[in-house]
Amino acid sequence: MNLSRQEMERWQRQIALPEFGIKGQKRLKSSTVVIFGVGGVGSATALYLAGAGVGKLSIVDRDVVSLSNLHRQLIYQNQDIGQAKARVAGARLLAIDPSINIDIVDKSVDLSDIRRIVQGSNLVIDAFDKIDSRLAVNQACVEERLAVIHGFAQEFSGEACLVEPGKTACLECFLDRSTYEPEATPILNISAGIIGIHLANMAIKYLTGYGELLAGYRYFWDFYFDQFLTLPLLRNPDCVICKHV
Amino acid sequence: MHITVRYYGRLTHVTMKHRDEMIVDEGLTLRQLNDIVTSRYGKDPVNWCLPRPNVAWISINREDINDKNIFPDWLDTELKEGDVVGYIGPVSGPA
Repeated sequence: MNLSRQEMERWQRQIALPEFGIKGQKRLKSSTVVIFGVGGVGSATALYLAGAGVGKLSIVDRDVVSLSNLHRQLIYQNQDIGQAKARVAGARLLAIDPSINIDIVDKSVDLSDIRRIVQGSNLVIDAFDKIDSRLAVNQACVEERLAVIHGFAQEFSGEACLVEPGKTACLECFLDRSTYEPEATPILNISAGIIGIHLANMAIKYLTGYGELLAGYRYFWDFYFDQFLTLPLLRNPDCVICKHV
Repeated sequence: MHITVRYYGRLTHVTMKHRDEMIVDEGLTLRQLNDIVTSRYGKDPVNWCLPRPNVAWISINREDINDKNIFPDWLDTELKEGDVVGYIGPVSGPA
């Protein structure tokens, strides 16, 4: 896969990084990433992956844009209220780079849908907002042996973790199921934005191979105290999803 | 001696605050501080921070308590004047 003159110009500032270079750019261009959920976290991830040059993005979200989304989901605008998030997000990403191959899924998805959607992709981003949906993404990715990056944000904090099936704990191993899931969680807009951008950072590193990326750890941020930590995640030997992987 | 205890993420739903300033005995260990926090707020906050028998999602002065190079005594680390202990809640939350 060669880069055109226009592509060389578009991405020249990151290609100029020796650690990234043309090799990294080509890897991004030939990559397919699925993003489940384009709310506060996933929409920021999508914007940065599109800008960075990921060749194909699959955008999955059943929700529509509402007024209360706009303080943190900056991919959307007032005029988008009532429109399907996946479709609006897809259009914004194409406005950044018309050469991106975009797939849109703007309906509810179950486990069998997710299995089908992730097939053939290089990486999955889980930015869903419901536990059951997240666990379905986890199960499909473990079954397909696909790496998945999970992102969470609420109130003054957020976190991210890379799961590599067979090597690290999976989401089922460590997700707290007792979490109360209100319809609307209080959140600072920057909590979602910073986590979303960090998911893109992790994704780009995973796809290109530069730098260091911790799999099997929690990247945890508290924005009230401005504290950042990486914390270990251990596999559950009795995990019903990944114990035989 | 004086220490600061910070509560992160979902723990604040139980503690209803982001921090406690505490006067505690010299030589208090992290394990003993866990007991104090449990006596104040019930068992959930500390239990959430101990997800496996050999993992603790707790920091001292912004360092991960599981880092054996820094904290070879892990939960039996003795706290010092001015230490800041952070309790990090469970992996949870919407996006």
